[in-house]
Amino acid sequence: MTHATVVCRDGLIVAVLPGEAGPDGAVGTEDDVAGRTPLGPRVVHAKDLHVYAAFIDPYVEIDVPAPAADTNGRHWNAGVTPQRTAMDGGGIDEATAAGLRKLGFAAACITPKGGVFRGQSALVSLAKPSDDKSAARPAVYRTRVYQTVSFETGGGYPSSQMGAIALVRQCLSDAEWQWGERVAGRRTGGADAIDSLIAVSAPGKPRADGPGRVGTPGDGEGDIPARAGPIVFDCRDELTELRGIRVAKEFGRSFVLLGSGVEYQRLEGLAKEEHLSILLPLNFPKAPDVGTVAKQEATELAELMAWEQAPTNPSRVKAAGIDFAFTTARLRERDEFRGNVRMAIQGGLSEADALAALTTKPAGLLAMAERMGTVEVGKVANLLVTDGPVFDKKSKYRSVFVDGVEHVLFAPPAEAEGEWTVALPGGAEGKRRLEITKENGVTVYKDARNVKGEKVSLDNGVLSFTFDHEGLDETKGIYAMSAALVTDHNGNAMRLIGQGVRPDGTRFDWSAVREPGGSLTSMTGVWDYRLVGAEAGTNPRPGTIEVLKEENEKGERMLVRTLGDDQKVTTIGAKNVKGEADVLTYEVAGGAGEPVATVRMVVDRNAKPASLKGEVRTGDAVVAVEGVKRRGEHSSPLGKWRVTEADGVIRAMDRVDGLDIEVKAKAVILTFRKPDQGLGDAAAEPLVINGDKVEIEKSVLTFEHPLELLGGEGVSKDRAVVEGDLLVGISTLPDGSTHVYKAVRLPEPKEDETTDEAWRFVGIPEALPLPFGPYGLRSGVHTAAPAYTLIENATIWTGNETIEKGTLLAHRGKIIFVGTGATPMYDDDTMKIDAAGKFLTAGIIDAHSHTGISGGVNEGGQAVTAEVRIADVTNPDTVDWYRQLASGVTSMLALHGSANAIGGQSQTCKMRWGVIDPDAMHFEGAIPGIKFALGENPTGKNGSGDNGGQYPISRMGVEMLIRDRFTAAKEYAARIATDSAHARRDLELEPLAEILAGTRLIHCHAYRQDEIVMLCHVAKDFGFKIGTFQHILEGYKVADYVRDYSGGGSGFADWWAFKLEVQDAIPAGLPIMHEAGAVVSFNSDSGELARRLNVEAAKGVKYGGLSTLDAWRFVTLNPAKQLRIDRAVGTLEKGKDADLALWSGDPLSTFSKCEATWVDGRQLFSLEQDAEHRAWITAERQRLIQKLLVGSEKKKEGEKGEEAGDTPAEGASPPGPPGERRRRRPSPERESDAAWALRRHMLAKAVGLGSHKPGECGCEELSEDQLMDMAERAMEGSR
Amino acid sequence: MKLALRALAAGTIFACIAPPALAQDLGIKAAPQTDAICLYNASIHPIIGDDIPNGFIVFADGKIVEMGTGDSSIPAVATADGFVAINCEGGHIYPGLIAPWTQLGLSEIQAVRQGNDTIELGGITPEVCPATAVNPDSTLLPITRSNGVLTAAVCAGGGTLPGQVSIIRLDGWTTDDLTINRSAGQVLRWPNMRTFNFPGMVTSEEDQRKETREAILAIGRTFDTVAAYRMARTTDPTSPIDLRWEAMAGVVPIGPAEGSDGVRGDAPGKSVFVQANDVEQINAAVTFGKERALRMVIVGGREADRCAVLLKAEDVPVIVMGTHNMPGRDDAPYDEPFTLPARLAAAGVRFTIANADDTAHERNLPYTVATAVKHGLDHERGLRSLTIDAATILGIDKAYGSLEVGKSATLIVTTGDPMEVRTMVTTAYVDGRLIDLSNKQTELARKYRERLKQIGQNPGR
Repeated sequence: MTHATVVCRDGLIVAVLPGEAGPDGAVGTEDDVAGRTPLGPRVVHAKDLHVYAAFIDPYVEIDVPAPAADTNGRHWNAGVTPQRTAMDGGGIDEATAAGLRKLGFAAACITPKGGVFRGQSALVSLAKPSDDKSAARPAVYRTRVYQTVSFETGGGYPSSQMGAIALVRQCLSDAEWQWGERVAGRRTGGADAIDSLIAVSAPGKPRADGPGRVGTPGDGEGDIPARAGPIVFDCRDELTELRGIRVAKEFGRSFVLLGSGVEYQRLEGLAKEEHLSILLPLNFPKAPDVGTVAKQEATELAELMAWEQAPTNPSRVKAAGIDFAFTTARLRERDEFRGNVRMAIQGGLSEADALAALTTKPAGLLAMAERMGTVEVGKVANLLVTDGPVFDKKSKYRSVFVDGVEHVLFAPPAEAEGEWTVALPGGAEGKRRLEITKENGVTVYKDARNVKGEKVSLDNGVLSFTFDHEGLDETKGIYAMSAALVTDHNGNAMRLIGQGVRPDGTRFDWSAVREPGGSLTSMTGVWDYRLVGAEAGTNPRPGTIEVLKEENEKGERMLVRTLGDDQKVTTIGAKNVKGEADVLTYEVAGGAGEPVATVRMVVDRNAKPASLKGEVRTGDAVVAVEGVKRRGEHSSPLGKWRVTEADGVIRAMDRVDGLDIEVKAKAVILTFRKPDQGLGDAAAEPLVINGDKVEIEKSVLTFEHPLELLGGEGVSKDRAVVEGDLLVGISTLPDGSTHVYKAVRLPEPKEDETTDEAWRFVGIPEALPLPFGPYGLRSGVHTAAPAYTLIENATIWTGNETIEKGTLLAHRGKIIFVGTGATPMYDDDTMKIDAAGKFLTAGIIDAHSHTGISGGVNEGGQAVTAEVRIADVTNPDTVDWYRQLASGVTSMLALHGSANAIGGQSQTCKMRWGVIDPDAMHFEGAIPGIKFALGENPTGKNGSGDNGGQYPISRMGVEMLIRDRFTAAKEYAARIATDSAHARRDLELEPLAEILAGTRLIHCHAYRQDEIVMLCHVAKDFGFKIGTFQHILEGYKVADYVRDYSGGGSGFADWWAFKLEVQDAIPAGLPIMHEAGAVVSFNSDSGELARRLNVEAAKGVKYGGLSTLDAWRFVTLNPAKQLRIDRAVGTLEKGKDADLALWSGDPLSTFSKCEATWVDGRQLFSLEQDAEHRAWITAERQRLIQKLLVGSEKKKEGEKGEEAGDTPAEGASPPGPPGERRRRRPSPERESDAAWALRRHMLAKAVGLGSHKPGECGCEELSEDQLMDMAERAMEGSR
Repeated sequence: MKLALRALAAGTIFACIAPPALAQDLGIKAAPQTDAICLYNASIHPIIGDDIPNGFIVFADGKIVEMGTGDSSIPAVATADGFVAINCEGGHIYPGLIAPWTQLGLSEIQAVRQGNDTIELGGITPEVCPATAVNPDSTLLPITRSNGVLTAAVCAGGGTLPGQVSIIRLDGWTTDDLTINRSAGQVLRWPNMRTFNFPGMVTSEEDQRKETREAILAIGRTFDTVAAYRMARTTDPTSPIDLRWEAMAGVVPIGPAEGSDGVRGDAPGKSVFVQANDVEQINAAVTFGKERALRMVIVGGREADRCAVLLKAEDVPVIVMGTHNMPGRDDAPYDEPFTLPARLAAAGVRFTIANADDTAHERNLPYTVATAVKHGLDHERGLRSLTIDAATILGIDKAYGSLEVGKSATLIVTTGDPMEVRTMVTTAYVDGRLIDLSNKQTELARKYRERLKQIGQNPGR
């Protein structure tokens, strides 16, 4: 709607009217001037301004006090505070609100900061609170909008993402259970924190207050507080988003994600979720610094790619069909928001979608669509007023109306230019006229006389000047004058109100009103005009006039003279020139026998450029005239133009915007499509007209062009004048008729575009690799999986025997033939490999790994963390998977660390590089496991000495802790068996009960023989069999125990002496256990060592005297047996999975290289594929580095040429004093996986841990703080 | 006596290394060589010179006196009185392997603080010398030498100039017995020149660069001080002695900044072992060393191939810190650390490869090199890295690193290529002394196999 009017009352929109409210040029009412609205409405004149529904930020974190320690019903975990609400403290602070208003927001959903269950959010007004303490506070539109949940860690339990997920799971489970108990009347105590988590949709819900309404205590439903609305999961990366979705769905909760900004990296996975909504941040990474060789060396490809792709995230999310609203959350500085919205639009998002994401979408997601998000009657009067399209860089946000109250964001500097009529009290001194020029020159007129003002200043809306009155009458001396400017919305001064001091010291009040039409000044200048629809030969002809002011002793007079094409004066033929109130009149004498023409034109000085409209009367004939004013400078016509308005011949084409004009130094090219050619029809070749006789004289372009293609005859003579980015052309046809057209300048080609970041968007790859980053599978490159894989002429180590010149055929992931002789059946869709001279084996299985675990390998926050699950945090994207595939490893056991005696649940994985769904890494049907740990680690012996005050600190305590928990688990199992309907589900005891039931295996980190024997006793007493002993360095001392009480031992081939409890480790240890009949395997416990497990196996031959076959089974069949996956993997047999490794020679030789690896029959690594990856990586790195280097130059130029930029408005937070910069240690869980990994990597580099060593990696993982301290020490030390 | 020896000579090589009853850390160190020894019926890999497929080697008083080819019978030279002739039964003889960068003897169990003597306080402690603190009864020494690593450089760790590099043999009663060269040079840890920038960093990149600049200036001042000190001591022998600067005398030349021929008067006899990994560190360190006419060795060298032209032109060798590392970046090739030696070789840079792992795992040195061979390094270059190239870079090539007449009889007899895991080291001599290859680990294996035997479980072998 244009020229519309919005009427607000009491904070609501009461009317939205089309058309203009007042007369043209009217600026406000009397009430407006006084700034009061005692009676009628206050009119805000927004001519030339744009009005939008103000924005809504759906996620703004604020500090809210934690529940006091002695509060009843407080949850045992300090991070679980769902009962908190965002309004518990002071609500949103004015500085934050002001910062948001500046960006166009009028409402924000505020939510408590910190913790796992953070509390209930509230949608609040961002109005500035009145200074009047008795006035109403800004509105709270809705409370308890959603419950914010994050997988945040730090300060005890949870200390890992998997721990946080486990805590969330237990709490949601407790909420369901507790609600059931309350409904059944078995639980009658006062409300506690968990009650705040009862789902709105909980069964038995007795009250339907609607979402987020507080139930009244004592209303018969018990003192149960409000039931929770949806959950908003704060997700730091795309994998965490999938985790949040999974947990929410597990409990049937409605949810929204606070997005990460990296959704694009796994969009296919997210898009699988129907009706997904994301609060989308615009946290685009800074451009990586690649300015030096060293910086380039230190920059990861993924970092470069993320920088380039991030701004496409919103458009990609949109294209994936995911609902989203923008939030300012996660920005480094909130002020980056506007620029980043613009960047998202450059990245492919439509402006309409961007606007929706700021208005209707957040309104909808917050269930406030009926009250907010659009400019409609009945909605909250939250409006944003801008002076240009809302997403234009140059547009200024003028005001934001919050609940109908204007908050001025930017007031243009007052302009007083024009003519004024001064009223003096009493009329004693007669009327004066005042002219103020653009340069703030002041001239005071009385009658025909005038004097120049002196000491003129126009500051902060106050005009001051002096003038010598003597020039005006006989009074001698200097008058001093000052007045305040009362301005309209565009900064135009409408009224002057002030005081003066006469030479004799007497004071007087004066005021001045603007002459309605303005001044002579508005008319002076050069005008290009034309006659609308005039006949040929009309007088005057289209052309150029210059309006001048001539001053002499008598005052001044106006002159109008005609300029020729050469800009030289041709005539000064105008007579009776009058200029008043923006109306210019004059007469032009015709040639011989021609009548006098009277010209009357009205100047519109607010138009850009200033324009005039009027008529020429010649006798009775009236011809309309139009013209535009030239600016002082001459704009060049060179460049490309798009015609936006036209009449005459050109108008005949339905779509004039299809006409482009390219102006070169000696040529003009017109390109267009005929009306029957669709504009968007790129296939249709545009028609081209070449102009000739091209001449350019400053801002004037003349040329001729044939009319044939446009449907006319002959040649059109065109004359066009350029004013900045606007071109007005007059086309004179052979019949003498003239037609006018307007065109706007098209953006210069990208390479010259220096004022924005358009260069960033050139050549962005559409398709992304999966995983996002190096070695990811790229569409059509490495994703093909043939139906058959046939490997011939290989020396095959099946794991049972050696087959020379053997053949293996796999079909759809399974081995269907191993042997020699008969040719097996296969079809054309076959990958055929001649493996003459090569060795084919089953893929290696690593029974102890910590690869691909997000957000911490240890949940060390408690001594028992059986509830945490590695499966929750599988990260399929770490490049370590690929590197291990390159070493023939195809399956592994991902284990929790050994920080505590009863650790988390383990996950057996297959290395399916490039999966969309992280869970697809999980080995189907593998028996569940859990990590236990004995010895130095769970007793904290290598740390402070007291294990952080956590029991146990001795091997004696470890035993009792384990016995205690198994005792509890036994009782729990009994309880569940007898009363499964009402027993509270205990996620910690559940897996322990599974161990007792034999459905879950313990993988126990153990070193010394005493502790091994201890656990064997426990197993015997509780009647279960241990899965494996891990590390088991002294297992050879008690090999019979290992054999009898467990599924065997898995350990290092020869590692020892890195700590006291491994001083008796020997490389013959595991082979001795093998001799005693235990199932034994070698493992890595290290992403680096995992890369050479084949050679580790050879150490069994060297130190333990194993046969080649037995040694090879140490890294294939034996770990498969230990993990109970030997039915599918571990040997090459018909019916087993086609998990294969192809070696250049004897797999036990240090000189043999893995040349190819298959998982489920898919080749996921080969030397050839790897070479392709490397070539792509090199090319992509260079492309991006060059883009950054070239771009940073452009940016520099752009910044130079740019305007001073937005005026800082209210709420801009000043940078803190240097002393206040505090060391910030964000917990790793608040960063993205990638950022976290990068940081760890860099820290490790700084510390000098080039790579993790076995026994250090997961089992004794350094904390972030330890690493940081070490890094800083190392850096200090290195200097 | 002679009879006994003859009886020994008639035995096989396996018979003569029957282990003593005790683990080596409680065991007896090797006695000095008394009789001349001839090892025959072996493939000899002298490293310098061609392989001798069916050869013998004779050494006396700890030095090699003769090598030659023959058949599988005792060579004539070894039938004389005073000779012990040992049939190697087709085994292979290599020089003892040399570990070019370790902390053997300075650290027993990493996690036990009390056993660690690798670092001294203070950033500039050039006076401290590892040979002083090597524990001759460390259990790590027998474990390491059992796989053929018989010589090692032991290096001080810590600050900017943390101390010296000592060269030891891995068998001896006392530190004096162990020491080959108490001071082979100085360790210089070059400042990090690559700025870090990640969330939580306190120091700005600009401040980091400033700190680096200051640190490099401080190194320069130290070397200038040493030169001035030496000049002062030369011109005025009564000027006070400073142990720190005395310790650096061998690495810092004195005299006019540049002689008439552009070279300083007294070229240093010892190397400065500069720990530097990144391109800019290596560039800066080599330039620094060139300005001061230092003899340099780069230690680390992760990006040394990118400075190969400079390193080759200045003839600065590199001690590559291992191959069993992870690539520097996620997008780097998976084999980036594996192929570094091959890339250095192709560029003509001299180098040797250190194991660069925990001290306790130094025995795996040959496999660290094997990984480089697997990924493109010439097999011969791999062997040289383990022997003569290491010896040359450490300055002990006159006596160690190859089998040549006149050199130390520090050698191993193996069943094959020492870079293959399944190869067994059957015998080892250090300066002609027969070394006990048993160790704590072999004894523990024996002990607990005995337990299994006693309780009637499968006793194995």
